[in-house]
Amino acid sequence: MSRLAAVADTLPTDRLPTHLLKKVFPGHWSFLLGELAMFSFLVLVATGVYLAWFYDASMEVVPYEGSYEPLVGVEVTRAYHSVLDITFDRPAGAMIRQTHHWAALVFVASIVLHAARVFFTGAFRRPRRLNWTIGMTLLGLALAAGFFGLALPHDLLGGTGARIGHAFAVSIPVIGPGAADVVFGGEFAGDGMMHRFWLFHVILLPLAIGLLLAAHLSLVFLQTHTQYPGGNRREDNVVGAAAWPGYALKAGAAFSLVVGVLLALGAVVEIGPIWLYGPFDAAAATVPAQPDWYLGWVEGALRIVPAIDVVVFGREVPSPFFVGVAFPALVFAVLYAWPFAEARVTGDHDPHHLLDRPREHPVRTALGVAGLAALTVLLLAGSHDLQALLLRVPVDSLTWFYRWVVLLVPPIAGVVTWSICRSLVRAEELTP
Amino acid sequence: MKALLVARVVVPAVLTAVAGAVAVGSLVLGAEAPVVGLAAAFALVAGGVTVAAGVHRLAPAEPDVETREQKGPRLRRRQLLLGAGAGTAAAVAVAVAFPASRRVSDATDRLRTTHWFDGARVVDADGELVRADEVADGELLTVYPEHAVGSVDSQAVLVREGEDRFSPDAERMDWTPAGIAVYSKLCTHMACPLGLYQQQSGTLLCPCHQAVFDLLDSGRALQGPARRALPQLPIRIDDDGYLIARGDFSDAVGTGFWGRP
Repeated sequence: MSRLAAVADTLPTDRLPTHLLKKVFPGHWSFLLGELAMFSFLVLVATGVYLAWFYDASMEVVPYEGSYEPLVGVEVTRAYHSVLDITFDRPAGAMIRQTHHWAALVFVASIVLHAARVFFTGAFRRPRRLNWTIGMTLLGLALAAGFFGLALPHDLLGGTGARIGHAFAVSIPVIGPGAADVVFGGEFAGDGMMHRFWLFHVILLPLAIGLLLAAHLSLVFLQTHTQYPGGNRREDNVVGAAAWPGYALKAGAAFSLVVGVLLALGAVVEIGPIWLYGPFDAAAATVPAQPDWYLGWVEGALRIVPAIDVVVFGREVPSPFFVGVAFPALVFAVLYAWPFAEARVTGDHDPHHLLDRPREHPVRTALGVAGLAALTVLLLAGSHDLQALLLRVPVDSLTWFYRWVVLLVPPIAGVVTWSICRSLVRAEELTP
Repeated sequence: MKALLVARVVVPAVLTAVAGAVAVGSLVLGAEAPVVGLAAAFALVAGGVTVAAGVHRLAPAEPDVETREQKGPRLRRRQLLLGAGAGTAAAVAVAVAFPASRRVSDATDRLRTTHWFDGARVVDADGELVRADEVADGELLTVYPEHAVGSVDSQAVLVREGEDRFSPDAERMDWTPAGIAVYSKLCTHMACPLGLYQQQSGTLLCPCHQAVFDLLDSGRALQGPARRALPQLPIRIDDDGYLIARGDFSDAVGTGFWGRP
């Protein structure tokens, strides 16, 4: 009996079903990325409950009365007022709010990294195609939750973001104006807007994320985890640490680390200073105006895609539709369809539990890198006004620069990746 | 071996205890939230390191192994699931489409029009009437119709330049009395409020996505992602010298939408 088992035996774990305790989870650092996303979500829920306790989703305008001197007497909405109160007049409010914001950034980042790991190692293949689609849905819901969360404080930056979202909604052919009416509760910046956003951000989206996360984890549990090839790891076994005690303790340690780091960030590193952005004003926009990183790729596309309003049957389909609705929809459609399309192209319909090495699938790896490169260029283009200021060049020149870069870099990145994969494999074949 | 155990497990454990004590102590003594938070965060990180290192140290030399059941594809269940999913999606689509279609026409009408009409008096953001001779050359002013100050879709920019600087379209020759032109303040790209006026060129820049409009040439879109010109408001000057609208904007304001023209 190992020493770890001896420690574990002192706990009354024999009352739990043993097959659950003996469930084996392979250990690799890249398998922690999904856990990181889950732990950030737990932090988001915990801090979110505290914020929802004091948040007021009203757009009634009142003079600010609170302890942030520069804004005293300024006409603000109750929503903005309540977030200032959380920040300046509630116990630990600023820290909790900043931890929530940091956790949101880490949540989406870890989902993206986790999805990239799953993609490049081929973990999405049968029998895990359903779980891949659940994961992509979770990513989409996380982006939506982030969008509404940024708008809730009803500050100038969040309000500008909501305005962009409204323009996207309105631009959808046929149903656009009606759909915008439903989501935004009437005309833009109407009295019901924050109440709708509150419903989405605080109730519907977290509920959907929680339920799908449960389904996602259940499938991982029932289908067993994938593992990298090598050693005694085969298709028909799982090699790693049993759920109890090894895996549970490691996961607990990781949870503790994640909460600690996010709390430290929230305590010390300022994020989302809405008191500096000022209250929402329909006649003003912040300069510069950038969304959080995970929406930056759409922002970049908005800046560099030329005006391409199209007229169909005498009706207008404006460029925001192509950039803000059709383009993200296309990205998600490709991601959703990938496992099924790849199986069809390669003819490989077998179930797989051993992961691929990215170098051994150069085409998939190259296409994945090209896609990530395109999104990264767009993300960079999302702050090109700041870069123009920094480099002292006209914004219009940078617009043209990024138009070229977004067309040229992805294919180059793809070809380079493909040849690196090939030479890595060849080098391995040469060494005995 | 022992030295390693001390370095990797005992040291973080001691740090955890100390940081935890500091966190509790500072909380009891009423320290600032970031101090308590930082101490708690440090305790959590050190605690995590302790447990992780401990598990690693005590882990069995041989990893645990579980056999994996080999299951072939079960197509019938998949097709059933897909069918159920498609059915649900169709039901949801129908449920959403009905109320939405009734709202589309109302919503589209509201997008087409603003609060400006023939005879509406022009006021500034404080609700004060605007007199033509009180606007200085090169000045840019945000204005509203008198009865809808602060309205999002009715907000407009008023600019005054020398009359000879304007080169409006033929049918808009009399829309700039006394060298005053009024345009919608909403960018035709994403409906951001326009702000940065360059007097030398008579151009207005959108802070959101850097579209540029020529206020001297009927609001034409010059650069960036906007295609449509800024909608212009036809105005006149009444007998007392106040600015009066002669109708709604020349086009729907803000972002384009289905059913705009």
